[in-house]
Amino acid sequence: MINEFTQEFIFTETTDERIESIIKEFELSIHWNRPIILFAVFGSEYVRRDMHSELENRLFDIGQYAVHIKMSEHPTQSLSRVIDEYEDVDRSVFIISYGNLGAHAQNRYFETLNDQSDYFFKRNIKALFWLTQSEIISLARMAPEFWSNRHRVIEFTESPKTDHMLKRTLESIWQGTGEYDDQIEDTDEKISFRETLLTNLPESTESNSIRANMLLTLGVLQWRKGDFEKAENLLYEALNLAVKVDNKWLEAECLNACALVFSSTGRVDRAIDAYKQAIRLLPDQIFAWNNLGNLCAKIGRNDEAIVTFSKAIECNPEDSVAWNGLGHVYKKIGYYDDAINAYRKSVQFTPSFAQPWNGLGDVYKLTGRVDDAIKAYEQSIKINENYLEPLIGLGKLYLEAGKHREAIKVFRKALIADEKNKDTWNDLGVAQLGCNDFAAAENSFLNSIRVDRTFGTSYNNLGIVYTLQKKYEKSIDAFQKALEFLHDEDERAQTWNRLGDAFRSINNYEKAMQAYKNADKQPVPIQNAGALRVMETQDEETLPITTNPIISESVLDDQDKVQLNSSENQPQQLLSPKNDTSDKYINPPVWLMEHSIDTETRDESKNIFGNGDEMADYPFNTDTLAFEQPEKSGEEFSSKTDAVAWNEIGNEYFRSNNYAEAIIAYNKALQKDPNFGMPYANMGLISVIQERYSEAILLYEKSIKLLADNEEKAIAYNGLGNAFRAVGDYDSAIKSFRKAAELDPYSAGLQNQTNVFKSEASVKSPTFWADLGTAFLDNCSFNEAITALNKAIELNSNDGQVLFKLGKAYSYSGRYKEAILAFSNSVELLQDDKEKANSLNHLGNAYRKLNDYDKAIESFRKAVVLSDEGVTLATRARFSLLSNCRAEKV
Amino acid sequence: MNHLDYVRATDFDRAWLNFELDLPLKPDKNGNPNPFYIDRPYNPINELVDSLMSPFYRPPKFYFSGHRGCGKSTELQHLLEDPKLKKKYWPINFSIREETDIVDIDFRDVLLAIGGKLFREYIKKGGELPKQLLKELNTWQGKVEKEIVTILDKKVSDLEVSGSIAAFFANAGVKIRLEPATRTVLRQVVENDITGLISIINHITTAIYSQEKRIPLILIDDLDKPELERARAIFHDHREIMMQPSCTIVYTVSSALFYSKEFDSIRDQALFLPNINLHSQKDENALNEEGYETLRKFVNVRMSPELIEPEALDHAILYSGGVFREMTRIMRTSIGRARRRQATKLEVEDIEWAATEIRNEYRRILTKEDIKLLKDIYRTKRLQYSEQMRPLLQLLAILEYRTGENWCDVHPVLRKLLHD
Repeated sequence: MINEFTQEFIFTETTDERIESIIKEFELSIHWNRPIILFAVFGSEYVRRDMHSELENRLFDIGQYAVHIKMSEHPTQSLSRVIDEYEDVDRSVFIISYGNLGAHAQNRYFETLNDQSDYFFKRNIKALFWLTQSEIISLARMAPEFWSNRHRVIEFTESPKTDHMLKRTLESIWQGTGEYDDQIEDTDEKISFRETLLTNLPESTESNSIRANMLLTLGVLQWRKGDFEKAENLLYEALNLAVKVDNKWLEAECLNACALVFSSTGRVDRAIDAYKQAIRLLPDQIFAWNNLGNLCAKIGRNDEAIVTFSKAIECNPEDSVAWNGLGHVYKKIGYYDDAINAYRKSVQFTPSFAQPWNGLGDVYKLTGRVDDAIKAYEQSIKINENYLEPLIGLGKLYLEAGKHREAIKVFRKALIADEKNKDTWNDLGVAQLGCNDFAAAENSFLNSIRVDRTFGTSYNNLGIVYTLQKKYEKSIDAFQKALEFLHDEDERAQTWNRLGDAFRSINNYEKAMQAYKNADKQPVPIQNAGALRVMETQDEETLPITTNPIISESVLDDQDKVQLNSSENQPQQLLSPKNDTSDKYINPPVWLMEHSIDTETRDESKNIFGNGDEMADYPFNTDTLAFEQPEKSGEEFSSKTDAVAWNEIGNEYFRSNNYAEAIIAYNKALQKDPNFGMPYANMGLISVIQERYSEAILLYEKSIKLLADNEEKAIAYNGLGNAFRAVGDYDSAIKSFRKAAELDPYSAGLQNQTNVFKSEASVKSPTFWADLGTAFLDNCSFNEAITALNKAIELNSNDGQVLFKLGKAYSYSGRYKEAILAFSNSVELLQDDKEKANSLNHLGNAYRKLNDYDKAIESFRKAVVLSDEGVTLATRARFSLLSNCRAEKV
Repeated sequence: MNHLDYVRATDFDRAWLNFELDLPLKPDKNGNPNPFYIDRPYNPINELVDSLMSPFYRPPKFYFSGHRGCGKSTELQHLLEDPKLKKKYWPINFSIREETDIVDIDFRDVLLAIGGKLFREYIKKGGELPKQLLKELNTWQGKVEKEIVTILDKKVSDLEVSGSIAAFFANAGVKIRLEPATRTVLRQVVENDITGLISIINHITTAIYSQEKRIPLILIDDLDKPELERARAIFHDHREIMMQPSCTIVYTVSSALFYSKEFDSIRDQALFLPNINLHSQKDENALNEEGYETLRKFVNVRMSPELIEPEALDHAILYSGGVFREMTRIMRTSIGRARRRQATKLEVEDIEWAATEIRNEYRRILTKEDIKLLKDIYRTKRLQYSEQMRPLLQLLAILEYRTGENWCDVHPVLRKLLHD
């Protein structure tokens, strides 16, 4: 037994260790399926946010979803009711925060919480409560029962890192509180020093003024630190004293600082009121105007922001903060010239002000002035090397310009400023991928995912990295993970396609088809389907990434996004540079199973190609070229009767999107050599592009019959598979893809990069099947025609023409009984007498073939009656023939 | 895997589970004590059993109190399966939380809960009440519902369509728990005919008694949770009414009520379950070996002694202050730490780590005035139910003990805080 606390223990734990201890608690509670209630106390909102995202990630790693419940968003519901709305409690950890409820509401919440321990235990709830230092006191007092059921209380009361404070404070430029950006260091020491001073101040009315000033400074320091609760209390105290000592300036400063706290805690209306009060007190002072302007701009009240900044400029025409703010609003609403002027004014009056340089960079970028943008960003970074926005802006600019090495340098600097920026890690990965540095890219995408385990974009890009390295199993995992988290339909469609391609690459056609089906379900056109051809021989910076890594957009504000989405505003050469393509890529392929992506339909906001993406258009290995460069003019070749050359000319036209001329050239090639399979395949590709899938299928089938080389056949089969897939005939698609794989085990014909467009409409269209059936019929492919026409009938049983054609197909393939049924039905449905007569004639023939002469005669007679032109020679002949037959029989 | 199979842990993973706060320690189907149940020295529950077994003229009502976390619920569950009691009584046990809103509870809610629970449990266990009684119950139900509908100005209420007395009792419980408006009306109606409700309870009791040949014994848990004022209104202001049901009832009451002046007149029917004494009131160095042994046993039934250094165990016991829940908390927090550092045994350092964490939790919530009071308590060990002391008792910053007289001490983990 012991009776003394003999040994003194001093325990220190790092943040990571505390996070780890929380996770371990959750792991055990999951393992034993038991409830758990943890409290986490925080002193800075910045720290809480960081810990929160770290927790989310770590929970994700152990198979749990972090469900964040902000009670301020559920003012009338108890916590148990809110949790009841979630179904998957077993896989959820509820992270609860209270925000700025106000003391009364907060106490009410905690009172009701007191009675809810049982609920947590009975439902096996796993919960972590984020509590400020005052909230945990209130909770313990108002809900002692619940408090006594806590399992652990973990403290995160350290100060945020200086760079975090800086980064976040810079998000809102503010003035008038006596603290500036360069004074952000040593916040804790500053606070401690001022607290000591404050404690030592004599308690007298004479000290009120000094005390108020000190409280104001302390309040601002706490605000910087992210301890908004303390900041608010201190500032209120300061404000009261300022009123007491009748110091309007100080009062206005206090209101200004209070507004910052309100704004930081989402109480925008109260912030605006506070600024307005400050302005009323000191209408000639600019700081409150500027801060109000910034706030209005931040919440999208742009007109008010412009008026407010203008007021500040009226007070001081040389105020660079006001000009910068004005520039920012103009940029947001798209008045770029005005924005440039305002930013220039700002840097003119304060050349060392980093923000307007960044703003200038943004506007130059938006208006396509790339060089100016680069200079402006560089200037901004030179002034403040920790300023994240110009670093990211510059990095993206380099990336889009294909300057991958420069982009990498800048992104690395940005990561020094903020190592937990998932977007920057992602963009760094894209740049590294552009340099063919797969290992580095993989590492960057993994880092991005480490920051946010639910970042689908980076999973997708990781999948691309693996695909390019032919690590298909890994790429499949990555794409599947991406699909768990991607929400954008276009991105999802592309990822499904990539997943399908990866499955195809490992010959898992069932899963590939399932993935393609999912891709085809997306309501937007699918671009680059099947675009997983890995180009292995390219130099760095011209990597032909046929898969398009997704660049993050999160650093761009909405206005920027609008601009990027607009192709006219987006410098095409930056995103998909055509000019610096090496010669070998200009060489046309042997035939065109590929086509260029239509730049008008490509959604650049979702697929910003890095340098070398143009090669995605021509991913053929040029070593397979069997002939010389074709001349541009087809006429020069007319005498050469060289089908191959005409095919090449067709390819040239194809490349310039001149499909009509391409088809003429391919046809000339076929005239020269009717047994040449390549032109058929290339015309098949054009048909796919033009969404004439039935034609494409015929052309590909024709080419397959003519092609001798297995690899060439594989490509045609692949194209055929794509065409079948486009019409939703997945069974036939699988067969084709399988055939391609059989013929070419190495690449399975995947050189093809055919666009597959939305197909849902096609597959359900009776017209499509009717056309396909007709094409098969005309091509004497009767069995195929019967299948297609029957599908058309399934979709629309009232089309007499289709029934007539079906009858013909049956008849030509000797299936007269079925032909009779089809013709009979067609006669009932056809409106035009001539058409009816025609069908009756065919019906008569079918009867005749079955030796049912009575019915044959009857059919012919009906045909005669319906025909305006009386009895045709053919009918007469049939009658005659039939009579003879009959006579013979008799 | 059965997660609650009450197996002694031989590793920290299982040990973590076994030291869950509020782990229900129900006896097994045959009435054997739960493997984790431990008897305590001079267990006052034996007194309660004796009292219940004594002959009576009128079915007795007992008040069962104890400190927060001292094991009241466990003892009630243990009591429920006592073979002697089961011969004499038809026992049921329920938490008042399941039946009503304890934040806004009053005596009518408790009575309604008693009637409802008695009725439902009997039916649930396969009992059949006489038809005549059911008819009378339905008449009473109809009357109550009619009045509710009238007061609610003929608005549609779930109670209108309850259909049966069973559904009425079930619905009434829900209404009392969830809907303040209906709760008010229901109380008003019940109050107008409180004798009617008492009669209902007594009729059901009588019917069960006559069929089972055992008097219903109702153990109501968590009635110690409502605020003192509300508890006082129930057990003092309406004491007579609460004595009226003809079944035997054990009400749980808070220690604050137990020691209040108003409780003087009924204290002889009350029983107090204290924390385990670990040292004497006068001298904190005079340790109580019996108390220590009880808590060692508490740990050893849940976890192999191989997993903890003996010195560490004694440290943990000391820091627990003799409160089972606090012992559980310290053990579990220490186990978490030992597990993270991949240790094979709990050491003093782990216990100290847990104590430090708990101390810091209190450091956050205690005011300067609280610390001042705690210093005073630490010095005098004198218990007084003042407004300032009550929240500290609720938060277990102050722990109550009983050795002849009642005294209190500061939670042992907080001692260092007093010296800071």
